[in-house]
Amino acid sequence: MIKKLGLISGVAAVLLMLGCSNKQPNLENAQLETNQTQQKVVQNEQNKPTQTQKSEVNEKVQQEKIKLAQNIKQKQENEKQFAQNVADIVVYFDFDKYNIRQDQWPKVQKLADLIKSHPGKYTIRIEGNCDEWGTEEYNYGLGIRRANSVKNALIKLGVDPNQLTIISYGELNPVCTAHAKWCWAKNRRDNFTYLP
Amino acid sequence: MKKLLILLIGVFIFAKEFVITKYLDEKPVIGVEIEAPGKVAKLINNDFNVLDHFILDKGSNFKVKFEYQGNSLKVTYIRDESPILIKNYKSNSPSFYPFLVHRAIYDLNNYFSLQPAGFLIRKVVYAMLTAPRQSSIYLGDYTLTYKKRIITGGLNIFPKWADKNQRTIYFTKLNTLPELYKFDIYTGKLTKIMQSPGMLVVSDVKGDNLLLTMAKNGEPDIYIYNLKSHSLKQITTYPGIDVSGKFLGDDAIAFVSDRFGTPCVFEKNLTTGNVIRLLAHGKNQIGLDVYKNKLVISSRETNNAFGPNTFNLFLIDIDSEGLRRLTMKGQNNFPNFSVNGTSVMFIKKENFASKIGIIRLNEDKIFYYPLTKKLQSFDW
Repeated sequence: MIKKLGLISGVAAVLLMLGCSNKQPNLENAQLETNQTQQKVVQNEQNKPTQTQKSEVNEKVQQEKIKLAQNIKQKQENEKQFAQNVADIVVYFDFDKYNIRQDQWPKVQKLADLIKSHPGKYTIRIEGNCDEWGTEEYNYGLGIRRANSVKNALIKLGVDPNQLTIISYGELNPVCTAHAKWCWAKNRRDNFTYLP
Repeated sequence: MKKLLILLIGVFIFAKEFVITKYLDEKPVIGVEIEAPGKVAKLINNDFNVLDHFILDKGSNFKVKFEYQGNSLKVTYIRDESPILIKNYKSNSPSFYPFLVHRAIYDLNNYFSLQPAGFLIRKVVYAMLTAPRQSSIYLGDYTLTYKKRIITGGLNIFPKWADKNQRTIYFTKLNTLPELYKFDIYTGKLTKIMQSPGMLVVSDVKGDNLLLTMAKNGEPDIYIYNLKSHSLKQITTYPGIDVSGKFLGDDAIAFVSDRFGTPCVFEKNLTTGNVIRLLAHGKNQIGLDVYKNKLVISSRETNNAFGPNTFNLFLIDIDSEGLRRLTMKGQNNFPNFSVNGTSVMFIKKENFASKIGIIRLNEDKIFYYPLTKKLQSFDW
């Protein structure tokens, strides 16, 4: 029994030694491992961008950033230009009237075209104004009706009603303060403001 | 025929205008002595002038002595050279002197048991344009000598007294949407009542009920809003301009509407819903105020919209259907009855200048004060 145990232990020891010997470094293995390491390094070196490649990437990123900034700037410029185009349109009214005059219709049409050709989430505020004649409340009501007349016209011309809001400044937003007919005529108007 | 009609209308109007009421047959005769700086003395004399309830005569045995010093006004009533009553009026600011003077004259008027002169001590709240799209609200005495800015920043318009004691006001602030606020001028407490698209103005106040002009769908219409129940009832539905609603009597409102093509004053019965035109005279009736069953209306009489004789004031009595012309020339607008209905305050524009006018209805007199800036609206 003791002999058997000794034999088993001996065999196990030999097997253990053999097993370990496989992992022991020898010259051939060392050479191979070195080669593999070199290959890995070479591969890594190959993957790693060179200084030139680096600057190219940076340049690309930079260019994209510039392009993005330019796009934003262009968009802002477009918005600014759109706001200006909208603000440049002024619809004038006759004394004590809120119906759109025949000669003012092209301006309303132009405004409708502008809005329809500029999609996006924004609002156009239509601001009704009056001359200094009349009392405060009536002028305020008149300003609202002037704003509403153009709003209704724009809706008929295909503008989304949700893009339009109205307000009246009555006689509180004059562009001209002289006491003259030509001046009062300038104050009987609708202005348009772009609200992003 | 047209000329004859105009002539007849003219005769009718002028006939009414020449009816002068003998209001005070015997005015009390008093002597007045003033020891005060020039501006205070000027205001004392002005109050006597506007009130027109006394005949000032230095030889009278009844004298009133005004002494102003520091921030105090001492008023001594003297009969037969003997002081019979001394009244002291004090304030904590020298700028309040107009209120001291007005109160002293008001008390003197009461001492003689004359027709009440409440308009003297009423405060005026008004909005004034300070720059395009910038309007502040100010507090003043009835002569606008005292001036204090109480609401500023942005467009603050249409101030209206909210209570009889003149402690609180309603006003509109034009933000993205018009907003209606109540403001306590003593505590500074600001309460938002509501907001509404388009237009939101308090046109008249009667207890807990407000007559509002709103334009929810771009059409200015008149609504009654109850502050307690928060109920909002639309009164007018005309698809045009309906503004300036005023409570008229117990069961009606008067308002301005362009339903006949040009603005005219109408009455709407709140029970039956019937609408009638109140004044046929004139081509353009835009200003309106109501005191009980009396109306004061600003109406354009000429075809020339920009002529010198443009808007004049007319007084209508609903009960007697009487019509009385109050002004003759100029552009007379913003008529506003005093608290007891005996006077009308208005703005007159003439020869490129604005002035505030006070018509003493019973005395048939008009007084003016120059206005340096344009008022947007006011309430007395």
